[in-house]
Amino acid sequence: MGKSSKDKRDAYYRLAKEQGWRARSAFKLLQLDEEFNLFENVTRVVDLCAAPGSWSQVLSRVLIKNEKFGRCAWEDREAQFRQRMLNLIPSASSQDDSQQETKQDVEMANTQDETTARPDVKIVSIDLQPISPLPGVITLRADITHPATVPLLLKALDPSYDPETSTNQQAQHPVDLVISDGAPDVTGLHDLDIYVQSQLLFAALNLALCVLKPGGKFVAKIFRGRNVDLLYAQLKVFFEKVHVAKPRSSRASSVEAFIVCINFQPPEGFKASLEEPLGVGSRLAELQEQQQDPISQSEPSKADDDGITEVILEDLSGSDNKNRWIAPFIACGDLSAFDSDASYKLAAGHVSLPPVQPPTAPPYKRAIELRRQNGGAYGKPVVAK
Amino acid sequence: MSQTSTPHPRTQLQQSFVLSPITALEIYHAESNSSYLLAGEDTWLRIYDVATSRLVSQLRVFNSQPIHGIHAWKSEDGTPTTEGGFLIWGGQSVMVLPPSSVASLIQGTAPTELPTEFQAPDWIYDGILFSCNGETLGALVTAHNEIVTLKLSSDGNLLELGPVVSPSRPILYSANLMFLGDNTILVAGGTVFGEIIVWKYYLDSCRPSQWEVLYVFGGHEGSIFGVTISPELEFSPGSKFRLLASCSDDRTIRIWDITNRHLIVRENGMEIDSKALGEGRETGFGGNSEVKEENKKDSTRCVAVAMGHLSRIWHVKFGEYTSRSNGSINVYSFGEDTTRQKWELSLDLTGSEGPKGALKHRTTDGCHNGKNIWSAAVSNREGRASIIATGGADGKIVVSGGLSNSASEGGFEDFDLNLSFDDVLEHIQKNSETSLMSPLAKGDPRQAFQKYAFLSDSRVVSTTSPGRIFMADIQGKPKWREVQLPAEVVADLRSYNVMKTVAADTVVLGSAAGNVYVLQSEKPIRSVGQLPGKIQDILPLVAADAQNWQAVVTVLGADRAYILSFNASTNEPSFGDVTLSLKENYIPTAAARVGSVIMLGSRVGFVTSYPNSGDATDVLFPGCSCRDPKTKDAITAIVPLPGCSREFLTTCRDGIYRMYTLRADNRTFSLRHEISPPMGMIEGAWFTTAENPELILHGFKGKQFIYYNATTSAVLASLECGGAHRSFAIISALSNPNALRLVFTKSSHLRFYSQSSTFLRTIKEGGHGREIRAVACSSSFKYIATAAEDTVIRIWTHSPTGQGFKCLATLEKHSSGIQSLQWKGDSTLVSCGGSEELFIWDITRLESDYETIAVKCEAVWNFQSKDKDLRIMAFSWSTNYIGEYHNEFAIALSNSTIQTYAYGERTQEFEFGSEAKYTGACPTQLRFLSNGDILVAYTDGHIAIWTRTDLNINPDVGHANNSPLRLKLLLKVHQSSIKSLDVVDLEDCHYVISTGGDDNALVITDLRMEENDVKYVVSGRYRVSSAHGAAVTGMKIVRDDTDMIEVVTVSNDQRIKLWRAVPGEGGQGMEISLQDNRYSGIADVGDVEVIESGKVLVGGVGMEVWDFNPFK
Repeated sequence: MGKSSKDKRDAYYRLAKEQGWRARSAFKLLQLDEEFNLFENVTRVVDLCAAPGSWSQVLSRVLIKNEKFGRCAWEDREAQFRQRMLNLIPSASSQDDSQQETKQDVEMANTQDETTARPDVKIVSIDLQPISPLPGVITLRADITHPATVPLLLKALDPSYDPETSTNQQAQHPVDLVISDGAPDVTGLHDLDIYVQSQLLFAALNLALCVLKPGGKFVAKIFRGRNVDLLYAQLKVFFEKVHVAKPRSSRASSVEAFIVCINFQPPEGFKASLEEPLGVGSRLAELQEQQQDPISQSEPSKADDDGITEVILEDLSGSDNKNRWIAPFIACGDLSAFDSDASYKLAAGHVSLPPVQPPTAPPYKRAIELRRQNGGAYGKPVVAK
Repeated sequence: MSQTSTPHPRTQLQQSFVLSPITALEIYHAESNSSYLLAGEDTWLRIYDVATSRLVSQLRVFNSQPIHGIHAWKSEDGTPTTEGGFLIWGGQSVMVLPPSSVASLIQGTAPTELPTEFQAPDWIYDGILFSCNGETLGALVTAHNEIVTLKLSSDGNLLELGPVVSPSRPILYSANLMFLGDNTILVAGGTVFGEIIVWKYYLDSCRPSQWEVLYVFGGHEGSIFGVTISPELEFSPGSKFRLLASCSDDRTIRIWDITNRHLIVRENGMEIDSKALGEGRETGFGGNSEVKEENKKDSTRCVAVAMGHLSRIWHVKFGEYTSRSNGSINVYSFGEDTTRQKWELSLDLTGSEGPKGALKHRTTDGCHNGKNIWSAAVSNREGRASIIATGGADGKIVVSGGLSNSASEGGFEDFDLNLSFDDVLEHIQKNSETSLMSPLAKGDPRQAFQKYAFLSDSRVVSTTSPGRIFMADIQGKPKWREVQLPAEVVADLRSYNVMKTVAADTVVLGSAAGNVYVLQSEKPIRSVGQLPGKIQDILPLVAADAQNWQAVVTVLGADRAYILSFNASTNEPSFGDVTLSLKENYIPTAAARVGSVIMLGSRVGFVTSYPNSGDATDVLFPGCSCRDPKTKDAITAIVPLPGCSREFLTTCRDGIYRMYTLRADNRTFSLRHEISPPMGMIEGAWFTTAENPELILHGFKGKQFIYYNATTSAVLASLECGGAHRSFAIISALSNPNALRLVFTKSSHLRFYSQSSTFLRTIKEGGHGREIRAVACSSSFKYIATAAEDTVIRIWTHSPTGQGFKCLATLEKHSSGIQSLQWKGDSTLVSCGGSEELFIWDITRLESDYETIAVKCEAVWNFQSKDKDLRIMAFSWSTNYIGEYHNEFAIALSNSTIQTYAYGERTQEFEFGSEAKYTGACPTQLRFLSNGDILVAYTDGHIAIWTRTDLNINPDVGHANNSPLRLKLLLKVHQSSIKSLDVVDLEDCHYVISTGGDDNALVITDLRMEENDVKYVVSGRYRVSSAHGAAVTGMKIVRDDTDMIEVVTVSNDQRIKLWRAVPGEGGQGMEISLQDNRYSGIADVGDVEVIESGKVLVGGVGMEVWDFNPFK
């Protein structure tokens, strides 16, 4: 494969390099923000499992540098043009509107406004892997599942915090938003991968429960696989609204999606602690039992804006749906966004840029080096580039 | 709508077959002395007899949880016992099958009543049963390094015994438990972050703490995927050791000393615990976190390190002692690369710092298809060969060892000898019964073995560079002697000779001077003639019976080949008058008689027929000579198919075997079958003599010699031989292809290998080694094709036993993941996928006794772009609108375009029709509608119907319709990507389109073409928003009555659902009900297809059959 074949296969990989992002996943957060206004009135943010730091980079550029990213950051002009041609955007007037909007977007895309910089912005990023420094972001190297990480985090958020005198693991000055894009290296044993991802999500949630202010938001990566409906129902214990969102920059062929939890409402009397984490044992199940309103599926409407009729389903299967709930799905990033599954033609004379940051060294790096020294894998010579 | 108002009863789903990854294995020795393999296959426990491979019984253990581990109770000395039972776990689910259930399972009947599923507080990595104070107890270790202890209640259900205990709670990727006696359990946990924690758990609560951390080992640079505690090892009496083996993402295996005696030396374990585990530590990889003083000390306990496998290593286990006195023991590792590797651990036990050692790589055996060995079991019993079993993502189980009386079956012994020329000389001289004709100098490097041939399955001959011939009789071991030759024959055979077995107890030799000799046992060698030039090769024409044989003898540079014949009536081999005329530079490399026709194969891949002209001419001329256009490599064998006079097989050094049918003209022949087995070069083939003959191939792959059963896709032997291009001879017991003898030259030594049975036996056949992406069933339900991420297509037929499937062929031609499959009739299959590949396959039945299908790639779509880097996402095939011999194709490419082509069945070529580009969104599904329009689904959630502006163009002359494509309808149905689609035409272009989305929704779109054919009218789009918890990746309309349709959907949430949609009053609205909702064992599901009336096949990680029937 040529150097630019990945540029063709993956539009967001190319865009990330062109726009200076450390990883293509930056677009996922930008598209989630576009749909959910995640950064609205947000000044204090914790980013978990942050390495190589593309989400922290978004936080740094949006909250510290006050840059704005409109749809233009990921919009495919040709797609827009073709959509008009195919009458996907039908009426002439709305065409004018959208042209106007596009124009505005162009102006808004990546603008910097020094005057309206947010006061008292605090961003803390945690990962086991080192994160290259980012303007205005405090980076910590720590294990998010370890109880000792909470005082480290509280101290980073509030330098005045004293773990010796403080008796609990709750933040004095809680944060507005906790985000986590963490995922394990998948093994291929789906059951295990889903479990490990759910434990990463619980690790993020447990930490979030310690530092999030009521009304705060929580965004984390989730694998939509077996028993994901149990997980949705568990998250619903702590938040008013729970959505599962798929940004257009996340491949449709991937099981990855993002859980977007809005309006943190801890159950009465609930005290978060990493000493007694959720995700194992029966504590969550007990909380679910106590929950007063059983969760109901969203109310069906007659026909939505797209003219699709929501059917009132009759369930004759007799299956047990206790503690199961399917969070409403929301696709993020509008239709004119680049398609992460499609192949694109590159402009004539396209130069493939090097990645902004080289990928993190894999644990088998030494094995590859040794194999190379010994003349390649199992007698197959490795040709050095 | 209530159920009673429905005139039709509810439709329900029932699982009737599952082939899933083998996620747990355990070996159980019953008192009868039989060994059983316990396998976890999805929710099922399946029990196989190790010696016979028979499935003894099966039991569905959990309702909706795959089994991840099985522990069979073991007595302390490893002798069979009926106590204890089986402990089985998966995820958080746990169950103990009591001894009575175990006994009935071994008898072949599943127990009728099962204990209740116990729910552990967390994911379980390991579990054991043990006896403590006369009571059977259990212990589990969780993914957070916690111990849960269990006891059985009187009704057989499990109860938690005490509180969950852990010294620290890192997240683990692996753990192992061992009961040490004295109320103590030894725990080893391998963390996600590359550390190993070894600790003791005390059952008695009278101690100050229930746990004691012994060691924290750093050193691995990646997650620990496997840890195993060794039994107490005793290399010399009184000196006992306990070791720990670990394997990791960093591709290393490490052995650690965890011998108890060092623990006594360690004074204050608790203090170290707090230092090692109490603080918030940096636990990153890559050697960038500083190693703590205690850890450094612990790391000196690393006894040995080795690097192996091409990718991640999932398991490591201790094997049998190789030599107690030398302190060596085998260690086995199992990896993502589907190999099991054997390592010999040699320990130096003399050092004061504890044992030090080295791991030496011994063998690598590829066991499975695709990727991943998910489960492994090793059973070591004193005085017996170890039993080693592996279970793969492909659902296959492979085992070595455990055969009761191994040597009896084929009558072949097991040995592997490596002899120098001098070794053979010495052997002959030492034996009083044999002697050399005349002395040969020892240590002369010019003396070498040259050619080998088997006279019988217990007698082999070898020619040598001094012109002498050695013969070995195998009676337990080879016994060598020299064949007495006249001096002039020795001189003639010196330096150059060729030798081949032509019939039972007969070999033919040729010399540089053109002399041809026949050698038979117990008879002097005889010259049968001289040909004009150096004898190049002797090619046996397969004889009808051993009494009469023929061989084609070729001479360097000659314009003809000669035929040496032996007729029992004259009892004399002789060259007849008939010769075969050869074209200039034609070098024959293979020959056979097919019916009355002689076939030759050439050095550069030509296959040539020599029909018997009927005239009594002396020279036969080629009737037809042709070669596969892709081949320039030598034909190594031509073999007539058993029980048929027109079909034959060729093997070729290009690694492909092909089957042909000789046409009625006896001159020309047509290619029927073309397959690449997993070999680089095929050197020969034969069919077994069983009632259902099997095809056995041999050849080379890299440095290995491969002996392969092409019918069962099993590697029967794989030997490191140094590579192709060497002298060798092979013989097998025709009735038992697993028994094999092979003699070949390796680094000027003679290597003699003999096996009584194949080393690795397949206990259970598997399927694809990666996720299935497409399933298609031929029109009469005869064949089922599946295609997977492993780039392979498999063709299956319903198993004669009625349960499951038999794989008939494996097609390996795609270079990247396959997206879609479709049959036309029962004999044409089309596949498409990445790298712009679309192939048309021709699938037919052969007439011979060799019961398989013939498969060849009939045509390749050849309109690729320059870089060939687009994916063909979907295609559809229609015969509706183009003339008799032409079909129409529509394909969807990942760059948002669809294209149409005409395909000529006779020309086997595609002709471009027209093209249409969408917005940039990627198409995911494509179907021709019954009216010739093209329905396409896209990643942006829309469905589109494209139409040709002139459908009636050139319908009869067989040209592609090149009228432009126009978008006739565009509808939004999902929020994001449409992952699955099915459509039916209820009547007169009234289409019901069912789609499943990445947005978890099921949408049914009801539309019809207006009578004037101008536009489509959409009556409604009906959505069930949260139809599944995850993307709806497979969908099939299984019932399409005008008053109701039924749809089966499958999803990544591992539920299979059946929906019923009934149009509302007056065609207004739609009532949708969920008829059934079941757990499916298939993760990452790709497709669902009807495979016969009332049955669907679900494909993903494995395959599953569901029956759908009216509720009873």
